[in-house]
Amino acid sequence: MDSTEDDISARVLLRRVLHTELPRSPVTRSATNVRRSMRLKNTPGLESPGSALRHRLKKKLHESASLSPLPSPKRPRSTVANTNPPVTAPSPVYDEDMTTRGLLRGIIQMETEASLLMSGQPAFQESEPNPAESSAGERTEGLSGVELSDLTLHTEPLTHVVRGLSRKKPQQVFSVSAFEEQFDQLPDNTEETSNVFHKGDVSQAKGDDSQDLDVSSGSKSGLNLTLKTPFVEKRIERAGLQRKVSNRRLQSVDAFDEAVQRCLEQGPNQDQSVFQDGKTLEDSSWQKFTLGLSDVTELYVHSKKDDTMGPSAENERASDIPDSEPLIQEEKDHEMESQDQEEVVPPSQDDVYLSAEDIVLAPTQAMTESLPESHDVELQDREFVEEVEIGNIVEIEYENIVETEDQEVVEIEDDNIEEIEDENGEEVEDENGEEVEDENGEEVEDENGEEVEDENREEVEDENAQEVEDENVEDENDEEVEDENAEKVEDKEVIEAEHEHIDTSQYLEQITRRAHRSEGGGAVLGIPGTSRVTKSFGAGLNPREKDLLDFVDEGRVSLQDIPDEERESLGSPEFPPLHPAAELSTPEQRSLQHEASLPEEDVPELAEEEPNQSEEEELLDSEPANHSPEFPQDEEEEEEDDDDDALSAELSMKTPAFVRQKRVFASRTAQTTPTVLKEVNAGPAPQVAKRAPRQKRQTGVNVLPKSYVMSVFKHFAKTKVASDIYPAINEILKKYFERLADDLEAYATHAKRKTIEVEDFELLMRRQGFVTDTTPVNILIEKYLPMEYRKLLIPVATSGNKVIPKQRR
Amino acid sequence: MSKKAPRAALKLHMKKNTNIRIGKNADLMAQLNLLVVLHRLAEESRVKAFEEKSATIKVHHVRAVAKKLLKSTRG
Repeated sequence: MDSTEDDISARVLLRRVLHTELPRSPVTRSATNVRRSMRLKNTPGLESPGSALRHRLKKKLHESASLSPLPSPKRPRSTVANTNPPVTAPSPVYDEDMTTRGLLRGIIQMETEASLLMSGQPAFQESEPNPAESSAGERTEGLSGVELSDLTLHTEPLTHVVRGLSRKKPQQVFSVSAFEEQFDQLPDNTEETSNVFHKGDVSQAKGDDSQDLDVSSGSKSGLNLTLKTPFVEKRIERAGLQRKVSNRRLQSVDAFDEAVQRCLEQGPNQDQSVFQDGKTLEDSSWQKFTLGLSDVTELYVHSKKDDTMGPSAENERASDIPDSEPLIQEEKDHEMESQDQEEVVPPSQDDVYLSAEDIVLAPTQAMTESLPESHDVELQDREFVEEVEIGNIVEIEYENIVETEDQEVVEIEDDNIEEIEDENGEEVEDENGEEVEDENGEEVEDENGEEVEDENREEVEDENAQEVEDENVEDENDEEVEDENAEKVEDKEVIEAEHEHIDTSQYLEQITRRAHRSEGGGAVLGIPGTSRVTKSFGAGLNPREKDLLDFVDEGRVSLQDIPDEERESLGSPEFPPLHPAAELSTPEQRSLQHEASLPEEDVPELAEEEPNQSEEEELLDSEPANHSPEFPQDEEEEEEDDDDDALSAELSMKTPAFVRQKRVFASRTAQTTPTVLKEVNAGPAPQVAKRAPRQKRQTGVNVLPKSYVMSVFKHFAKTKVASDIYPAINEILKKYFERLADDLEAYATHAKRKTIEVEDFELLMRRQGFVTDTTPVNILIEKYLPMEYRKLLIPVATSGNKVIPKQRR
Repeated sequence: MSKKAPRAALKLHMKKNTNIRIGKNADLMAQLNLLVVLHRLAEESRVKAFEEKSATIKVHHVRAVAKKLLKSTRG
């Protein structure tokens, strides 16, 4: 109440002041007045919102005062007329009016004065005890004639306004529209509307608002308006802001959606590719390796030989081979291609590239194809067919491999081959014989005999072949192939021979490869290790890869043999060497792909491994449940033989044994389950067995030991963590470390140092955001590192008389 | 948490591609950094797992978080 009274009086006072004290500089006074008014008004605190509005109005007045000197002259007229009644007024309030409201009112009054109704307004203002802000009154004054009339009619406005604080919003709504209407009307009605405009947006706003308020509220006086105006203004302001914000948001949202879509598109593609690769080769990484190696293999292959005939020959062979195996043919083709890759001379790289890729994919396809079929018979058939092809190819490949590889390697291979052949041949023969027998029955037996002979020849021929290389092998292959072709049993023979050859070749290859591998550097080791793992079923992938390798090997052999076609005749002595070569090639391809390093090394190594593996696999795969009993025998034999072999590569020795054992498991399981399951089943066992020798390399492959990483992660996660998360984390850490190393190196170089120091790390952490001004590094140190390390990093002052800072930085 | 990370392995990683040398205790800092990063990775993936209302952190949770994290810890 008091406040209202004050307000009312303030209005009156304002008018008076306006009228009388125009020449004064409102600014200064306004400042003080405003402050005083603020204080005064704040004290009552009865109408906080109202007071707030008032304050605003005052500010506006202040502004308007500074802006508009024009109204001053007019004010005196109105003020003079109006000031008479409102004489009593607290000075401070009076001043206040002058500063803000007063100014505004003045302006408004001027407008009103211009209009005929001006006189009415001041009277209205003065008379009406509007509790609301004086500004309201001013505004009412500013109203055009139309509004004035309304104001005059209604004397309650102030009260209403006061009450209507809550109504303000709805009123405001009206006011807006009304405001607009009035706005238009203003210029028409009053001359000073222009002045109003000129004088200030605030005043105008106020005036407009007030006008609108009057119109909308009708009887509600400027108080309402004044109260509302701020809202309206605010609204406008808010609206403006909102609009801007909304617009921005919309754009950003749209852009964001687009970006998201793009990411999604890219993401699934990437993921799909990865997954696809992973599915096919069980490891995307593997595939990458294989792909990478394919190039290498290509070179390698090219260098070795121009057995481009291989693919065509293989194709032919595939066609020749009996039907039961459309898949096998495909596989063979792939194999052939893969084989060719290895042996193809570099000049034909183009072909090789394609073939390499195909090979990589082919085996997987073959595998996939085989998987769905997963028929023992089919597998067997494939194997046989593949073997046939492989046998031929192996021979060729072997030669190629021999040629391309260093003489040393060749020599080694020769020695190994001889040894292997001798042993493998026997073993293979037995194995093949058994396998074939089981599968083919009697026919196989016959073939076995042939195989034995072939092996012998092969052994002899191997030596020669190595020297003579292609020609010998080819001749032999041709002979063999011809022989086989003549016989329907060729397939079987080939298969058998292939087995033999493959085994021997594998051995040879493995041997040579191992030799190379040992020579190879860390990178090579790393890759061979992995490849070996795969071959040796060491990893869960091994079985699968082995299968692939086997297929590939076979395919290679077959591919290569195509031109020879004679390869089918396993009897040729070359087969054994070829087999190893072929097997070498296939595993080589794989391994090569993995290893960018010497393909030769890989080849021998891989060959060795693969032969063993492939042998086992072949044995296993080729022999469905029927041969289960035989398998272990065969494997044992093989293993024994392998062990007996004077192969330099001890690993190969081990791997075959293990592999064989594993393969047994894998094969058995495979017989009944799809290849995927095979691998899974075979995985754990073989992995355990083979990991022993390969642990060294795996640390190179893995960023950090799994136990440590998982424990840390689990501790930090505080919730259960899936165990298969480790590879993903590994990849992430790998990338992270690479980048980390680069950054640190940059920092050190920037500091013109050649060593990465602790301060480099500090800078890094700061840039990463882990360390801020509030989080010193030491805190992090204490938080995370174990005590021993902490001591090292932070000099600790030991308690006691002696202070021994352990500065070991 | 209070485990000792293999210093040798860390050092090996840092020196992988370059010939730059590592200071005396710098690899400890590397371990610290690794821990911090792992911590953040674990946190983020845990949050993500919660989003999917699974109490266990699965692989895809981690993968989704990894890329963003790698970007942020760029330095």
